Amino acid sequence: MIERKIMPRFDYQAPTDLKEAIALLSGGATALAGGTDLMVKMKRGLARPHQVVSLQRIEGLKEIVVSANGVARIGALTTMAEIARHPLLSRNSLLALTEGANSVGGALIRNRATVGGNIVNARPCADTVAPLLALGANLIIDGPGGRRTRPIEGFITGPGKTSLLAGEILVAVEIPPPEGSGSCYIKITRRAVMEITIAGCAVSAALERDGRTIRQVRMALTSVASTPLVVEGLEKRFAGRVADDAALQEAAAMARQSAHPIDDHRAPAEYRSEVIEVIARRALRLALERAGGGKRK
Amino acid sequence: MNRSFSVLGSRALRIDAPEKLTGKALYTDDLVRPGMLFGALLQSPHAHARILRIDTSRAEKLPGVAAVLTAANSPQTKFGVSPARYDETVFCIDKVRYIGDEIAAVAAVDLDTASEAVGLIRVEYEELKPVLSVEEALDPASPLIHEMYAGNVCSRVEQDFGDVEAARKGAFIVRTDRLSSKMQNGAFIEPQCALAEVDGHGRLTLWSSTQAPHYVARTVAMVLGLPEHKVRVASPRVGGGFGPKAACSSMELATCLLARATGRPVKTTFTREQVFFHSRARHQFFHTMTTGVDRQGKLLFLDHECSLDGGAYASFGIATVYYAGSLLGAPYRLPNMRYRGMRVVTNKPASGAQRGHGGVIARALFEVQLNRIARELGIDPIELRRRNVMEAGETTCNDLNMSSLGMRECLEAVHDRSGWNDRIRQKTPGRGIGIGCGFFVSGAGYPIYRSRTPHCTVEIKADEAGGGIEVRTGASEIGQGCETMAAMIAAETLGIPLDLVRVRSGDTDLSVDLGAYSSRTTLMTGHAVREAAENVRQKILAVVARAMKVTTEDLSIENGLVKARGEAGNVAAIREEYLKEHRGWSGLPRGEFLTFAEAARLAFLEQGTIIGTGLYRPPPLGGKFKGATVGTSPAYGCSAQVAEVRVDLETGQVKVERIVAAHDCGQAINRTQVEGQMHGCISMALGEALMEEVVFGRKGEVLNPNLADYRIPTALDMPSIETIIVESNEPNGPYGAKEVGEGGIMPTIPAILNAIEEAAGVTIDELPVSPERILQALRRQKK
Amino acid sequence: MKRLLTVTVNGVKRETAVEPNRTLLEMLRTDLGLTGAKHGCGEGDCGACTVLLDGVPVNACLVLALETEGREVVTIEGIDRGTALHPLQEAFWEAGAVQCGYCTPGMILSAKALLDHVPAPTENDVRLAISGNLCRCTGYQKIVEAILLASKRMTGGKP
Repeated sequence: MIERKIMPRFDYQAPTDLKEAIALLSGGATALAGGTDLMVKMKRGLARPHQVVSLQRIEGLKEIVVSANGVARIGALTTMAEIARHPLLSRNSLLALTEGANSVGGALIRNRATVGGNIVNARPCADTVAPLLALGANLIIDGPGGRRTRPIEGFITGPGKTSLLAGEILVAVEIPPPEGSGSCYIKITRRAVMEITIAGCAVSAALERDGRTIRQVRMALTSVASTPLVVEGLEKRFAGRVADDAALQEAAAMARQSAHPIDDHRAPAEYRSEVIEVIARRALRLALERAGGGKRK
Repeated sequence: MNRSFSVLGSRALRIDAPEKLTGKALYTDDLVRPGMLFGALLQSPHAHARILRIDTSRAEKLPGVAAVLTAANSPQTKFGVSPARYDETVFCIDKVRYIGDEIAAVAAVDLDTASEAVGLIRVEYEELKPVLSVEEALDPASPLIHEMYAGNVCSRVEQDFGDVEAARKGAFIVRTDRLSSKMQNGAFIEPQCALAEVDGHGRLTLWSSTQAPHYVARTVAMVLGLPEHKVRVASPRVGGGFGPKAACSSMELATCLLARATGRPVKTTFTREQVFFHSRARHQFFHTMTTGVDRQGKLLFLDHECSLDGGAYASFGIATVYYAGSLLGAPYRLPNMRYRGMRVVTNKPASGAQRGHGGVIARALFEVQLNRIARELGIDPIELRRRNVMEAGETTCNDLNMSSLGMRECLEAVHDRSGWNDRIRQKTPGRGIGIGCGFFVSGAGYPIYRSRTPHCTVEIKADEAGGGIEVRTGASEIGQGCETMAAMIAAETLGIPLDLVRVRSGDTDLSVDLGAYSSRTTLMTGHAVREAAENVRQKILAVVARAMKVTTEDLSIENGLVKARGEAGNVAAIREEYLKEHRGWSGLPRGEFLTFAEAARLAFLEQGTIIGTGLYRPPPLGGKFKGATVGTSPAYGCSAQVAEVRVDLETGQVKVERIVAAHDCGQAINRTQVEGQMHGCISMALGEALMEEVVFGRKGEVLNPNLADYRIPTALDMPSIETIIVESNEPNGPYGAKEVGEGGIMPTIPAILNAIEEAAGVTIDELPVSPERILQALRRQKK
Repeated sequence: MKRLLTVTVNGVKRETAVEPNRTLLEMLRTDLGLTGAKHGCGEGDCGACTVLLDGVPVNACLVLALETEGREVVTIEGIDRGTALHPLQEAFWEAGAVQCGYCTPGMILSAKALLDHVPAPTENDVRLAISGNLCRCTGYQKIVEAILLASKRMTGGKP
């Protein structure tokens, strides 16, 4: 029916204590982080929670800390804007994440959208997920069964689906210390901002001391599969190889092979396939440049 | 141009800005009336279906619901835009014709209740096959959408000027090119909103986000069966119009009916989604043009065919299909032109008038074709245009008279400013520069309904106390700055400072004004303002002349001071009376010259309230052929633009890096506002060229009815624009002024397309340009 | 059922009762009569509803009113200095950055937040700061000029 969608009626809680939030979520409530996804869903009638629990007031979910051993820990309620401008996240190795965060929506959306929300909302177009996959991030989750840590890879199981159990909250993202590596995130859209990604590619890479040979490389893709996707087998094939044009082209072709995009009203599948190869090559080149200590941004 | 004005041509500050800057400006949804109810609409979920039964009983019983209306308990009077094509009713009677077609309306104590009630209305449909393209519309096997449109053709145009066949024989180059586009949306930031209230005498006031209060008022009166004097339409501040808000809508009519049915004020606001369902925006066009030139590149003929997908109702579409042809008659000498146009109806939201009305995509193809011809001839595309540009005073083959035409000046201005000669020589893959030109009417020569009504009237009242004046106009301020334009013309004509002028606008109680469409307001309303101001000036000076014992011709008002042949003259007695009346005041006039305040006060004392009136009626314009009226105008603005683009040859993405724009507005009333219109035209055109498209699903549903997926340019998409104002001093315009609000959109799309074609070496035949189609074209190129 | 909400709006502590599903935008416009923040799309795509929440520009249509408990909201009505306009408002006026005016409150608030943190932004900084505010009238050009003009004035005229 075409009628104005009415916001559902719900109870609202804003606990300050994580355990209280977990208890409420275990009772079937829906978590509210930045609201940029949930509010739209509710207005469109796609989510009708009976209780909404804001996570905004819970202690300790917004900190960004880099430990002595180089592990970067980012609270789940950190906004895209905070990630994009945080000095601790601005080194070459982490640029994929800051670039991903900085490409979500526009300035206003980034002031509210959270990295936790971006991950748990689990859309194939999530712009922080491919970077976190490429960076080999881990997720810290708390819930009725206690706290656990697991890799982000495999966490998203389908569009809008994750392996979060009932009552669980994503608390933080941890990025293991990359050494001397560079990373980047490139995405394709029609207009400059405020757009769902048509195709995106995140790369994290490291070079050997000779500055030419690939030591480590990891790539993840956005919007070309039902979930953000790691390009399998890339490191196996390219670790130890010289990062020349031929290698980059081969790797980009591998990316294209692993992509299985769909047609939708934003772009046809064929275009996404074609362009993912192009940006895979560019992202590899840029990440490797940054890994070599080359020009930043 | 060196004409000296006191106020005109300056960068005077907009008079409506302070309220808009501080949040005090009230738009229709900001208005609250005592006892106000909220309206909601039931709209069809099917693109094409018969209505078998409507059951509103559950909705009526919902607590908080004050009225539920359908066709059964509402007027079924047909309305629309052109009287010959009145094909709409407030509510669908026996069938629905697009997803969004209005079936019922509810008024309730709050929006949630009204929406819930809408959800309780049960409708039984018999689904019909939806007709969703021009091909399907013309297929004899397809169902008829309207009984009145045989073969689903809403309008057909056949126009022949000169002898195209003869000209074809003498052509050195003849080429045929095609361009198609998609339905696009006005995307004004303020969604439509209407608030209606009936007073104790049965007089209805409708506040609405409209750009045509006059047409809306007439339609409301006609449909509700009210005498015209019992209907008032007033627009508060309006957040953009661009064409789609220029016709009365079912939403406005339903709101009026709900107010009448409930005896309480009712407000209805569109969601953004409903803005897309309503549309009345840019048609989808399919153009085929065959153009012939001689060896020198002189245009010999244009053979032009065009189909329009008009959506479910006629709206402005009859004019659109005429404009698509007529707006190619200029700005080049084109002695022979043949036009075959056709507008079909389909089961999609109705298309109507949008900035540039019908001429935009046509102009895009013609200008791109000229560049392709230039390439074939091996000459510079600007040079090709130079060889063809009309001059002021010439008339087109379709009887449009260019009373002023700064086309050559515009062309040379952008040529020089863009560094064209150097840039055109650089052949860097992925970078290109392109030229486009265009022209547009300064107001349609005839109103939408057959009448010899003045197109506008204006009343100016001088304050009885002396000092200020109030300009009263039904003209529609939709952001283009017409209130400031009116104030400036009034100030200039009277010889007083701008800060003495107030303007009230957008209200049918104030005066008749056909509204803000066809870029008419500066020329037509401006003319009426000037007349009214001159009227006031004469009346005041006649009184002052008698008092000063001089003749009216001896007197002038300059910057608010009265001068008798440049001298102060005999003012003592007048001054003494004024000071006596103002005992106790400070800041009284002490200078040697009589002030405007004193003069106006004296005039009031002698004669009572001083009111001046003005009006504008165009002279009979245009030829005698069918459809001649569409395209006629007392004056034409024209423009040229150069665009520089970068094309990523691997991803197909396009970035416009620079635009140089020149526009001939006759005489800039306000330079800042002229530039603002140029910028706005260019940004809308850039969006339409590169990213704007209403996408339909297989059932006729709009897949992107929101501003995330219907992309308009953001601040990061716009290049910096360099503007040049050309002033050709239009004899038919007030102080030489003519349009700028729409004409500036014409050159942009072709300038961008021409630049892309050069950058990528591709041929574009479909809008909007998409990265995927660029890549496909590049691939075809390689083969 | 309505819940009591205490929020500071434009420097004044306000108490109001709202349903949990009421957005900040609806609360401002309807309950507090502050109509400067506008309804443009309701989904965070246009920025016409921009307000400052603890100094940060956000889409008020995507914030629940109850989320603002104990926090500070600034709307366009809270920008001017009583009898004088804020330098941004002055600059918008002078530069011709206002046409229909519907995007203006949002633009000014996004610009204010920028200048509060980056007093001397580049043109690109400005365009990024207003990237979530759509305008259909101006093509953004005079808005960008206005914000740069305001920044020059607010930093004492240094380029």
